Amino acid sequence: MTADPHTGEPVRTNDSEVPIHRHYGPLPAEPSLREWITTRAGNGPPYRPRAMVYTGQGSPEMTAERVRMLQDVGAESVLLACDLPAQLGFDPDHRLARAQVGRAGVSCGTLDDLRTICAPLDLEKLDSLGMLANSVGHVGLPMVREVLAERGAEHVRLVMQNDPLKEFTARGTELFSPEQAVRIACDTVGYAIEEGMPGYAMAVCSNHYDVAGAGPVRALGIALANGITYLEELVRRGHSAVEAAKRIMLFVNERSDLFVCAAVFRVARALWGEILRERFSVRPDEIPPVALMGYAHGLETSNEPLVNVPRCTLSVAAATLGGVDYLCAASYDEALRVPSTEAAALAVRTLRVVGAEHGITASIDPLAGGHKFTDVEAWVREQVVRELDRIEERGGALACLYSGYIAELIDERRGTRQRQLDSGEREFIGENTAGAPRWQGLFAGSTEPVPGLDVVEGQLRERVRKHKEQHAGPALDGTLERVRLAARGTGNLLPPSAEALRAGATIEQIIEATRSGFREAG
Amino acid sequence: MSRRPRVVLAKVGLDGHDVGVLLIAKHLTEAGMEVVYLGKRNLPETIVATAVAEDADVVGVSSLSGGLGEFSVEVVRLLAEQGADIPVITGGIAEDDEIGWAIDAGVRHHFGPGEPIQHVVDTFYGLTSRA
Repeated sequence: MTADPHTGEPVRTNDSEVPIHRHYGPLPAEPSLREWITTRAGNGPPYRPRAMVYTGQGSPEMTAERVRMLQDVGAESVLLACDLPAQLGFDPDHRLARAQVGRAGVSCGTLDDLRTICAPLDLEKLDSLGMLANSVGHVGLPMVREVLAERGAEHVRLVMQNDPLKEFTARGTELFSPEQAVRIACDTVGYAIEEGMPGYAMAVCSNHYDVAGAGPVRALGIALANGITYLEELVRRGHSAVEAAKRIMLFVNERSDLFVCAAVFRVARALWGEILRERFSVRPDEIPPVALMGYAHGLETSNEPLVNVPRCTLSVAAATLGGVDYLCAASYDEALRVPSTEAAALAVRTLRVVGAEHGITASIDPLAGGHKFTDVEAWVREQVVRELDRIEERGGALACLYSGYIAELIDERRGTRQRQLDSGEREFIGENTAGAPRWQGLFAGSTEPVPGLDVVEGQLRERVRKHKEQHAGPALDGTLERVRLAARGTGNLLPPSAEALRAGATIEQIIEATRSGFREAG
Repeated sequence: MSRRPRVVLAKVGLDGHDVGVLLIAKHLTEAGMEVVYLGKRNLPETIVATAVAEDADVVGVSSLSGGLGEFSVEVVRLLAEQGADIPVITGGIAEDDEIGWAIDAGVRHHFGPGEPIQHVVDTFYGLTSRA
């Protein structure tokens, strides 16, 4: 619903009943920002992101228990953290998967696994569901779709991590060549378009470039260049830029300065709209709402985990003030290990508190127009545009990946934070200043390694062996053959992959069939 | 004629974070060592075969996402089976007890995040038989 944000009754839900308006100052000139404000303002406050959880560990049953608890305490969007074997297309019984099954995420390599994970979720109340599938989008998205369809929950939106280009330089879970990776990612988005699936089949990600060392501003420039590459491929295939953009969200991050963080989000929204308008000739009134995702972090310490709570709270506030649409919050023990139950629950509560209390979400775009914020935002925007232009001048994201330019961009800035901390110019409470080792126990929180994951891994190895025995046969082989043929040709990989999943294929079987087809295609 | 100390470095398991191991490789090279880097996703037998074929002085294995103890201990065991007296160093992230049993099983040193680079280089250098 579009509305003049300057109409409507002010809210007075503060102790002195001070009237707080939906929006202050003039509407921005940038069409994407203007559209965002008028659309969101019409719905009234709170102007808060959906509370997202990035979670998963151990077996599907263990993760099912976790996601249900997190939904009970306020999570509205579930992004499943899959273990490394699932991210890379290996079954739990593969030798390279040893001691990694269910460790960095949940073991989820079959449709049965995802059914189990989602079984206790109340899908009527869930906003969105997705999983980590940056190199295996053609397996991940059909899994999610199948489970939602079986449960009659097609209204639940997608939130898929399906951005393989960043994996080559920022995260290291690349599987295929960059061109093949782009093909899989765009097959995935194309399938979501053709099937009319709501939500986002891809999250174009700057976060991992930031984590890898590029810093959040440069990271956004690289991510936007990747986004252009995906959009160009989708348009080349005949999709409209508008339909493609509807299925793509931007995963943005900044974890060190409230004002810079808010500016990075606002700049991302504005520039993505500008890219659609200027490079893809989308009329301003046709640009779909830009969806921004974030993951609120701070400088996190493993020595005093509870002290990470205020850091992450400030980070949640920063992203919220910048207009983030979907937000995860780091748990206080993430510097140590996969979050404990208590820490994960508190992170969700943190999201909900910031989303409802202290007036953070009473007005939309509340920082705009402030002298400091305006200056900071202008600087951020200029730098992001400069980085994006440099990549475009060098032939775009794919060319710069091959030439090593993207890796250079990351390497150049790597170590900035550490240098600032080592020199003492940047304070890190309890670490490089105000240290109190004697009292660290006060800030320990509740976190321990989950016991028995080695036993769980053994059980999952055995389970997948039985699963493969039970489903082996001509029916399954036929579906895998169709995956191979699609990979060898140019057809969309998702329909045959979905068919294979329904026939009981494991992720490794589908990835092997894909690899065979790619190899034959040369 | 003596040759430069030779080190084999490898990522084990499925972890793709290679910034740390590449940084170590750079510093070891600058310190005068020859580095053979096997890249990502190696099995223990690949690492051991390379270490033996290259007549390595030290093997370094890295993982930040699980499996460090299990894979490194298997590297130690396979080296011993082949009669190759090559020390193994681990780098990356693992729970304390996992590091403890890897050390007990014969891994010579473990380096976690934040370890001073010079200390890592000195440790590698000190273990090379030709140093």
